[in-house]
Amino acid sequence: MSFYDEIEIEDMTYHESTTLYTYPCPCGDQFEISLSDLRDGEEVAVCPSCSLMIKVIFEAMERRDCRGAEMERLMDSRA
Amino acid sequence: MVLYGFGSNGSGQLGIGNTVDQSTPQRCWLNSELPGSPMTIAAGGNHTLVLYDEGTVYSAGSSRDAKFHSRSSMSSMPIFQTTYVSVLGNKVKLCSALWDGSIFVNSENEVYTAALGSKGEQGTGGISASMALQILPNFPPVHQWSKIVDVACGVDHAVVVLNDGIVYGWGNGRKGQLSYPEEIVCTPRRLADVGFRVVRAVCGRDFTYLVGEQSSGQHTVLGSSKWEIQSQAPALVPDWKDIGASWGSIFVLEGSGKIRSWGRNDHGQLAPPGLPHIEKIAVGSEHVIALTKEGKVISWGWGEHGNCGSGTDESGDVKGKWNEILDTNSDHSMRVIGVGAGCATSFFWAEDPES
Repeated sequence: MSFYDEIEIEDMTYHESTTLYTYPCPCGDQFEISLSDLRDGEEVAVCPSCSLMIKVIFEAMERRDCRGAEMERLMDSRA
Repeated sequence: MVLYGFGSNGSGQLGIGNTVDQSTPQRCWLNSELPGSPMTIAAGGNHTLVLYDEGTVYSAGSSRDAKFHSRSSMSSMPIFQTTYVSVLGNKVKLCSALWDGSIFVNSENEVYTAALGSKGEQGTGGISASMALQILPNFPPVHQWSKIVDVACGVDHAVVVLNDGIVYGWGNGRKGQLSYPEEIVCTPRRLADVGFRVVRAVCGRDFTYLVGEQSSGQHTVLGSSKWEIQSQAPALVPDWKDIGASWGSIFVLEGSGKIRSWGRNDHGQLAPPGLPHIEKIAVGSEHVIALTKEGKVISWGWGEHGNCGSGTDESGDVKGKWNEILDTNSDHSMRVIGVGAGCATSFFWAEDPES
């Protein structure tokens, strides 16, 4: 399988309402993977609008943004 | 001047009156008539901005996460409409687009942003849940008597070049695209001195490309080093005429009409061998559209949505070659003036054949 890119989970955006992690796709849509799929060990996020897909990478966490952290739960769940 | 668009169009970002992807150029429509000639096209994930030479910005498409901006109740037609005109008027001199947002600079060197995102994209210190237009306070710093000469955006970071060669940026700086420290930057931060006077900037998804005067050809890449975007860069780019960046590649159009490009090439993004003399380029997320000296519009790269015209390989690529979109030599009534590109979208504008 060939991936468009490998993206660290902390670079993805979590959407509380849909429990999806997303990342921009160059087609204008977004790669997406659900929190539950991530918890189940899935690591491929797909774009609903084109053929591209990305591999989600879990690295050592360091979460810095303007909002706060939603990452701990996920990391706890995979630990 | 007539604007044509093709490629990805699920959010109406082509402004052609429907939301269907197109692999042949379609005429774009504007909500008001005869606004002069486009100067620049900037595009985010699902919206397109066209800056006209009279200083008005038109936009088409919409944000995926929220309404891009409030539209009049009856007007849901996917065409280009004047945007934020009550605040911006017709004084816009520069604009650029984030994934989910827009940045405008007016003739008084005021910077306005309207952006969604949690990585400081708005530049005003917090996160925004709406596309309300906000002015960047205290910017540029008043003591510098600064004029703004360029603005550029990646997916979630923005940079502004001042006339004294100093660069400010905000948004996602986690890959170093806003120099050091590598972090989210919520209000404009002065980037570390790069050793030359910067005159222009373009942004990839995770990097910033800065160039100095044409005569010196000094340049630098800040940020991600993926796809050898830093290590493949030539020492100098003298005689550059224009610059562009896809999400993972850099393009330098030289005065000679040659394109020097480096970085990501897995979808044929880099300039293919044997190109004719190029007059103008526009670089999208993973493709390029160009105007040749002979008046042809050509395109190459990742074209899965028809944005490189019809005729791609099984992966949706136009790789190692280019597609001819339009040959104005065989259509003498049309003279193409400029080209534009976005996320799998392509545009060109031409003198109205009926005028």
